[in-house]
Amino acid sequence: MIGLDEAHAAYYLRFPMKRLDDGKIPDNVHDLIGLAPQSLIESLKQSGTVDVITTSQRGGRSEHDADQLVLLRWKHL
Amino acid sequence: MGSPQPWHFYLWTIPWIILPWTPLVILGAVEMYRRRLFSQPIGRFLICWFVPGVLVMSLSAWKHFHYVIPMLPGLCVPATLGMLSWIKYVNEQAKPRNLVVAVIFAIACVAGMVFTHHRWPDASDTMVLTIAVLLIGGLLVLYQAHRRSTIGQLASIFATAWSVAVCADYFVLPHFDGYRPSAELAQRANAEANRMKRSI
Repeated sequence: MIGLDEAHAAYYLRFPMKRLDDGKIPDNVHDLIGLAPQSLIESLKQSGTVDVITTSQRGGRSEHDADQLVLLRWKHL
Repeated sequence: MGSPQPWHFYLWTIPWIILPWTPLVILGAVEMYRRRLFSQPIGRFLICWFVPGVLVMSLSAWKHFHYVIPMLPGLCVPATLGMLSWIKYVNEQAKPRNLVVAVIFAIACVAGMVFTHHRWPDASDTMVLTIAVLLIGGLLVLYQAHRRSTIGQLASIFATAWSVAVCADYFVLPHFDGYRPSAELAQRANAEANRMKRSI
């Protein structure tokens, strides 16, 4: 969970999960599967390669595109 | 889910949550005070149900309008009393202004339809439908008031409330609900995690 704080998706995940509320991936991590808001992808690309696996459908009408959740795989450069 | 809020958060949140019954709860509470029901066991029971819970919730730093819902059934009795008092008052009027109220209510509903159509164009169909149900139900209530039928008014009030709640829940809320897409994405993440586990 990257930069998502108390995201509702966490209630439905059925595997060990780590919260990275500040949106920064620790130095000792080289490969991860994560959920992140769309707006965070560009900053994640600065430190590694990002493959978007799937994207959530639009949620509420008040939700912006940048808030859309993305399931991604990140690998350190 | 909650967030830091001031101590008075629930004082203005509760009247908003219990709409459209808020005026009836206030009317019923005044009626209970006039009949000295708050010093009777039923009144003290309702105070014990509502007040301590709201106080404890108000002292908590983290607040959310969902948290106070278990305390709200305590307001059903004053709401019922308020509704019966209001129906009795209307039925006893020599010249009730039901037609004027009906016209004002219809204008307000149509204005609401126009506003929602412009404010939420994606969801306007379902919202206009819900307001139309409210309009029809409200006019039915006023017709029963014109007939001075207490049973008819009660039946049409509850039928309207139930119909509007169902329309809002099934048709309108999905447009604003951000939970379902999150849950579906998490399920896809679970499937992806299982697939990776098998491939290792």
